[in-house]
Amino acid sequence: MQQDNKISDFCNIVCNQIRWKKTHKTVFGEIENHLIEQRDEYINSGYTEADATDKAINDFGDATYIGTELDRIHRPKNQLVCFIILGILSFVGILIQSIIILSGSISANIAPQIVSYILGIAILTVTYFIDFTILSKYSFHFYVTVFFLSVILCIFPFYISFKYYIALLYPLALSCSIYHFRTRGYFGIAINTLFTLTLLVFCHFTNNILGIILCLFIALIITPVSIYRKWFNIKRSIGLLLCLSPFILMIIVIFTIPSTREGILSILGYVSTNDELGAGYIPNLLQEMTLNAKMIGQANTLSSPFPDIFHTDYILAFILYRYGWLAFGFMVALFYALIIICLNAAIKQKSVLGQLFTLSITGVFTVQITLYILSNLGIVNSTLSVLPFVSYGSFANLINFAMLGILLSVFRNEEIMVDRVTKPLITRQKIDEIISKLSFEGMDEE
Amino acid sequence: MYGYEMISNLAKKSNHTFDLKAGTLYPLLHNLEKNGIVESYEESTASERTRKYYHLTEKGKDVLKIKEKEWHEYSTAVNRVLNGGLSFATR
Repeated sequence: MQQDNKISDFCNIVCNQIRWKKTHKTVFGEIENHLIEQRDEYINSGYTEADATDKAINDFGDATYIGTELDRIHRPKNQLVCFIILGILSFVGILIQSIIILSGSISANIAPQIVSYILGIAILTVTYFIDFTILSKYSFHFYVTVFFLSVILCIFPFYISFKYYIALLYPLALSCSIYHFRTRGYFGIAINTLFTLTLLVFCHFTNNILGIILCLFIALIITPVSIYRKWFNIKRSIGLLLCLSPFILMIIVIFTIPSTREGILSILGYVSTNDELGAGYIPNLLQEMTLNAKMIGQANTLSSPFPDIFHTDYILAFILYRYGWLAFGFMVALFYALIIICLNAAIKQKSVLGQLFTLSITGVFTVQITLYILSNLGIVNSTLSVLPFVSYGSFANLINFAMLGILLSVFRNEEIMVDRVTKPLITRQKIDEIISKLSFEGMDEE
Repeated sequence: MYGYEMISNLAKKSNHTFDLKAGTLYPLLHNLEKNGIVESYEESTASERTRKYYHLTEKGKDVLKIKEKEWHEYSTAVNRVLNGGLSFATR
C-alpha cells in the first residue's frame, strides 16, 4: 500500500504542474499505469516491491520537469472568435427587437426577451464548463427523454411552437443513439435507422416539418458519415445501403402521392405567391421588398402593410427593408462565418463523440439559419424556425444557447476527449493471446 | 501500442541503445497527438486498469515517410563522410 502511495504521489506531482485540471485524470491514469507495469516487471526480475517501485519511479524521470512539459502542451482551446460573433449577434438581436417593439407598431414586450438572453448566457456558461461527456454516459436515456418529451408536448400542447423547439434536440438525441450503438455493427445501424424513422413518423403525424428536416439531416448526412468513418466497424457499402434505403424509399413514396407532394412543395414561396391575399401575401411582400431594397438605407414604402411579426419571423427582412442590402449581408456573413468556423472545427474532431455532437449541432444551426434566410427573402414560404440568438423567441433562444455551449465546450476540450470502448468485441489482450498462440503453433510445425 | 510497450520495444529492438526515460516519451506522444500525427483510444485491461493506446494517423504515416527519407539522406551523407566518399548504403 505504501508503495502504491509512492506512485500516486509521483503522479500527483506531475499533474500539479499542469494548470488545465481537466487533463489531470487522463495524465494521472496513463503515468500510473506505466509505473505499475514497470514496477511489476522489476518484481518479476527479482526485486522487492519497495525497490521495484523506487526503480520504476527513478526510471520515469523528474516529475516536476515532465509536468511542466505537459503543461506546455495541454491548454484549453480558446473560442474567442465564436464568442465575439455571438456577442455581436445577441447585441444586434436585442437592438433590432427594441427598435421594432419600441416603435409602438407591435404589441410585444422587450423585457421577456432580455430575460431570455440573460438566462441563455447563464445556460451557455454552465454547458460550456460542465463535462459534456455526461451525455455519452446516458446517451440512450437522452434519446428516450427527448422522444417522450416530444410526445408529452404534443399530447398536452402548452404552446404550439414547443414541438418545433424540442425538435432542435433531435439531432443531438440521434447522435447520442449512434454513439451508444456504434459498437454493435449492423444491429447498431438497424436500431439507429429505426429510431430515426420513429421520430420521422412522429414528426409527420404532428405536422412538424422542421423536425422532419432535422431527422433527414441525421439520416442522410450524420449516419452515412459515421458509417464511412468506420465507427460501426461494418462494410461501408452494406451499411450505407442499410441506413439510406428506408429514407430514400420514403422520399420516393412521399413524392408519388400527389397530396403529400403538393403539401411539401407549398412550402416554397413561389408556389403560393399566386394566392395574393392568402398564403402568398407575405411572400409577395418579401419579394417586393427584395426588389425595392437599397444598398444602404430604407427601401420604398411597400404596396401593402407588413404584418406585426417582423420581430419574430422576419427580423432579417426588417433589416433589409430598413437598412439595406449591406446590413443584411453583414448579418448573413456573420452567421455563415460562425457556421464555417464550427464546421471546420467539427471536421477536425478526433473523438467519435466530439465529432458526432459538433456535426449535429452545427447542422441544427445551419438548417435554422438557412431556412430563416430563405423565408425572409420570400423563397421559402414558411416560418419554421427562429433565427438563433437574434429573433424573438425565449424557449428556442435558451435551447440554442445551450447547444452553442455544448458545441464550444467540445471544441475547448477536444484535446482531452478520448472515446471509451466499454465493451469491446475483442480485447487487445485477446488479440495478443491469439497472436502468441499462432506463433507457438507455427514454431511447433517447424 | 501503449506507452510502456513503446519504451520496452524501443529498448529491445535497439539492443538498449535507446533506453529512453519514460518521462521524455509522454510529452512527445501528447505533442504528436495534439498535432494530429497519432491518435489514441482507451481500453480496459484484464486487471481492470485502463490503458491508452496510440496509433499513427494518415497524416502521421505521411510524416513518417518524410522523416524516413530525411534520415536516409542524412545517414547516407554521414556514411560518405566517414567512408571517404563511399556510402555504406550503396556498397
